[in-house]
Amino acid sequence: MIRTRFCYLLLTLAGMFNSRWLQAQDTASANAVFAEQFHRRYDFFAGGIATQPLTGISNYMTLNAGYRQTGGAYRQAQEAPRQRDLSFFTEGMRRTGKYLVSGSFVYTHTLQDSVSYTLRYGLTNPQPYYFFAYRKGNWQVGQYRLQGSVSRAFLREKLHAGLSVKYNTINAWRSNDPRPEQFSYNMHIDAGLLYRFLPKHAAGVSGSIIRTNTENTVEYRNKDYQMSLAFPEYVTRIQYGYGFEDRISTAPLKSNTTGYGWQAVYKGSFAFGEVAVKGGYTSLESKIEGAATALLPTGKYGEFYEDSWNAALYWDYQRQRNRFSLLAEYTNHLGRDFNQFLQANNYVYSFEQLRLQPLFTHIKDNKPRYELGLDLRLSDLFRADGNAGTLADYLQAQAGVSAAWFAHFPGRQLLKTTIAAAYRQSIDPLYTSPVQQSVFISSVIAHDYYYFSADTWRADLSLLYSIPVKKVNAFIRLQAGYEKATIPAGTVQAAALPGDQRWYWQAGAGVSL
Amino acid sequence: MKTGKLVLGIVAATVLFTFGCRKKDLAPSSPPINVIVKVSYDNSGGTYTFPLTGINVKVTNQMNSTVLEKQTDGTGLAIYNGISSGSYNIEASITIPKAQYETITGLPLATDNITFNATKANLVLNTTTNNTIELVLEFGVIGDWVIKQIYYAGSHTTNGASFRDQFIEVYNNSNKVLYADSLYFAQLFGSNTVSPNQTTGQYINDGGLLQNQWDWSKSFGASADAATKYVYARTIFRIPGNGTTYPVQPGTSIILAGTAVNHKAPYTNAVGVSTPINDPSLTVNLSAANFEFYLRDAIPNPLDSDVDNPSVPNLVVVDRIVNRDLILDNPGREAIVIFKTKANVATEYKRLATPNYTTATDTVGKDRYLQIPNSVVIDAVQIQPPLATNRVPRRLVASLDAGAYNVPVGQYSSQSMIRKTSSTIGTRKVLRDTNNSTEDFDYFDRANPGGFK
Repeated sequence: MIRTRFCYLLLTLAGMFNSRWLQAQDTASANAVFAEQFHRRYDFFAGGIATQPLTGISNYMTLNAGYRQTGGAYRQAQEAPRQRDLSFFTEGMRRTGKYLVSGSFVYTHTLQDSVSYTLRYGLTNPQPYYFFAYRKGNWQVGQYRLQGSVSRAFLREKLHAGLSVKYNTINAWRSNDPRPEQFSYNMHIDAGLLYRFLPKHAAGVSGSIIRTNTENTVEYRNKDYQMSLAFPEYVTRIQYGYGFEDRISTAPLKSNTTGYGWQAVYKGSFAFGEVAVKGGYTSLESKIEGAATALLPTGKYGEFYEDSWNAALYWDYQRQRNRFSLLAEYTNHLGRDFNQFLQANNYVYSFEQLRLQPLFTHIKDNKPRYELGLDLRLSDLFRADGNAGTLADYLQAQAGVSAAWFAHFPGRQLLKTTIAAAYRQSIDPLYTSPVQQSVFISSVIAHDYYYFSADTWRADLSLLYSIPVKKVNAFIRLQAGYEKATIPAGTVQAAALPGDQRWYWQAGAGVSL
Repeated sequence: MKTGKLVLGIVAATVLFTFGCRKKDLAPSSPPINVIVKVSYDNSGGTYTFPLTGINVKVTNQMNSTVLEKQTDGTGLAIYNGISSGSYNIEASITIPKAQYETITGLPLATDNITFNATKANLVLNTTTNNTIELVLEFGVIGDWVIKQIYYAGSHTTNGASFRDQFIEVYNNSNKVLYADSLYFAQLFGSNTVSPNQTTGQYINDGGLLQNQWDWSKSFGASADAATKYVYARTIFRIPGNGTTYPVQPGTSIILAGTAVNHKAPYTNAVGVSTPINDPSLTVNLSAANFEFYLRDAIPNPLDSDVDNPSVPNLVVVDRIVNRDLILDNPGREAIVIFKTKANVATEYKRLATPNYTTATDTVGKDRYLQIPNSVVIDAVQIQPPLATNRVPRRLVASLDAGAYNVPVGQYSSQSMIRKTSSTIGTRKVLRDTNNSTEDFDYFDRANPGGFK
C-alpha cells in the first residue's frame, strides 16, 4: 500500500516536471546548475515553505541515479564497516501563473555489512531507546523521501501563502540472527506566509506539525540463540540511554512522536548584496512503549523530548564577473528523556554546530569558470547517561577548502573538476568512565571515544562531465574521498579501537535543466 | 565596513557563548546510586564471633551482566559507589578453615572448612529505594553426600532422546563408605509465577531470596516458619535396601536414571513402539545406572515411555503429585533435594495445600504437598532457566542453596550440570560444596555419567 502510494506520488512529480516545462528557459545559464552557488541558494530557500518564493528560480529540474560504496575501519562502533547505496533522486521547481511548485523525491536502497551493537537503523538518531545485540549482521534498507511544496501569490505578488508536505519512510531489516525489522514513517506538514513589505524587503513565518511512528521487531530463525546464554552475542537487549541497558524479549518496540515547529525569515536586497536570515524552533515528544517487563510492568519505557533551534544567514553578492556568498548556519538540538523505571531524566543528548561557508565564483560569458570555497565548522556532541554514569562531550573544529574548475568545450560540453581537503581537530574530548563496565560501554562508548577524539585529514575529488542531449543536459559524475585519522593514545579501556582510514567512491548519471 | 565588523562581532560572540562553557549544565537528573552491603552472621545457633573482615560480596547487575566484587571491612561493610540503578543479585560468602572454626566455636568440624553464604536476588535498587542491604550469613548444610550431576535439559527431540534420558548422579564426597539405603530424592514444588498478585498476601514479599514464592505460612494449618524451615515436595523417591545393601565407596557415585536403558540405541516404549536415535552422540547410555525411576507398578496411569530395566533396581515411590515418571523440568524451573530421615515420610510429615486454599474445606481434593524439614536435607540444588527474564521464584532458602545454576544452552541441549572438583586426595576427588550452586557447578556440553570436571 505504501509503495503504491509512493509510485503515485512519483508519477505526480514526474508530471510536474514534464517535457513541456523543460522548454522553459528562464533559469540561469544551462551549466550554472552545476555550480555550487546554485545549489547553495536553492537548498537555502527551497527547503522551507516560507522561503520557497524567495528562491528566485522559476524552472529547474534535475534527475539522477547513482551508486556509492563506503568502507574502511575508521568508523563508529555501530557503523557499517562496508556500505553500498543505490539511489535515485529528483528535484525541481516550476512557476505556473501565480503558483510556484517545488518538490523532491529520493529513493535509496542500502546494503550494510557486519553492523554490530545495534538492531536499529539510524546511526545518528538521538533517541536513546532501541534494541541491540553484540552480534554482527547485514542490513538491507529501503528509504523513500518525498517533499512537495506549493505557494500562491496574492496582492500583486506582495503576499505568498504556501503549503508543504514531507513524507519519509524507512523499511530496514537484517538477514542474520537476531533479525530485526524496522518500519518508520515521518510526516511533516508546513504552512507559511511571506509578505513583501517593501519592494526589496520581505519577511515570512511558517508553522509545522510533525508525526513520526517507528516500530521495531526482532525474530530469530535459530531459537537456541534467542534463549541461550551460551551465545550471549545473540541475546537481544534494550538500550535505555548511553549505557543503561537490559535484556529483553523480542517484543516490538514502538515509538510515537508528535511535534510542532515554526520558522521565521527575512530577506532584503542592499547595495552590498542580498541578505537572508532565517531561524526557527522545533519541539518533539516521543513515547516509547513495548512489552511489559519485570521492571516496567506497564510496557511504557519512557519519553524523549527534543528541542531544536536553528538559525542561518545567507549573503549573496555579485559584482561584475565575480559572485560572493556566505552561508552561516547554527543548529542546537537538545534531547532529554524521562525513564519510567527510574522515574527521572536519565539521558541527555545535545548537538550544536556553527558552520561558515564562504564561496567565490568567477563567471565569464555567463558561465562559471572556477569556484573557491571554505568550510569552517565548530561542532559539539554531548551524550550523558545518568544511571550508567557515562558522559561524553566531543568538541570538534574543522576547516576545509575546495576548488572547482569548469572547462567548457564546444557544443556546450562541460567538465567540472573539484578538489577539496579538510582537517578536523578534536578539542579536549571529555569522557567519564563508569564504575560498571558492560560490554556495550567498552565496545561502543569507549570505542567511539577514540573515534571522536581522533584528528583527521580528508581529501575529495569529483569529476562531472555534461553534454546537451536534446533540450536537457545529461551528465555523469564520479566522486571519491579518503579520510585518514590519527587515533590518540588514551587510558580509556576499550574492547577495540577504530581503524585509521575511511573511503568512499560513487558514480552517478542524470539529466538537468 | 561597519556592517562587516558587526557580522564578525556577532559571529565571535555566538561562538564564545555557545561553545565556551561546554555542556556541564546538562547533567541528567538521575545519577548513579551508592549501595552499602552490611553483612552479619546468623546467631540462631550460638553467639560466636566469626570474622567480619574479608567476606566476599558479589554484586551482579542482572540488566547488563556486570559483576563487582569487594571484601568487607572490619565492620562487615562493603560499599559500592556510583553504580547503576537496576535489578541486582547480591551474594556474600566466606569460607572458614576447620581450625579457625573449631577455635571460635569449640565445636568439632568434620570437613576441612565451612562456608557461610547469604544471598538476595532480584533486588530492584534505584534512587528511591533503601540501598543499604543487610545480608545475614547462614551456615550451609554440608553433607557427605552431594548431588554431583544433574541432567535435566534432555537431548534433541528428534535426533536425540528428548527428556527420556534425564538422570541424577549422587556422590560420596566423604572419606568413608556410605550406604545409599534409604536416601531420599525429592523434586520440590513451588510457584512459577514471576510477578504474582501480591495484594492477595499469599506470596512472600520481603525482598528476600524467596521473593514471590508461595508464603506457605499462610497455608491452611501451617506454622509460622512453614516458608523458611521447610521445603515442599511434588515427588519423593527412596533408595531401597536394609541399611547396608548399597555401599558407596568414597569418591564414587550412584546414577539415578529416569529410564535405565542405552539411549544411544533405538528405543522401544512400554507398548512396543520403537523410536530411532538419529544422533547417538547427543544422548547417554544409562543401562548401567544404579537405580531407576519406574512408576508403572505404582500408579494407575503410567506413561508409555516409562520402561523397566529389570537388571536395575527401582526406586521406591514414596509420594508423587501429578508426575508420572521422573520428569525434571527441562527449561530449568526446578529445585531438588536429597535427604535422610528415620521418620515415615508419607505418614509422619505434614501436608499443606497452597495458600490460596484458606479453609479446611477448600483444601479437600486439592494437591497437598509433603513438608520436608530443612534440617534433614543433606544437599539441595536450585536450578533456573538461562535467561534472567524467564527465571522463577526460588524454592530454596540460602542455608540450602545460596545460588542457582543452569546449563547455558538450556533445554534439549544435551548439557548437564556438573559439580566442580575442589581437590584430589590420592585418587579420590573432593567436590566443591560451598552451598552455593552458582559457584559449585559447571557444565558438561554432553552429559557424562560418572565424569568429573
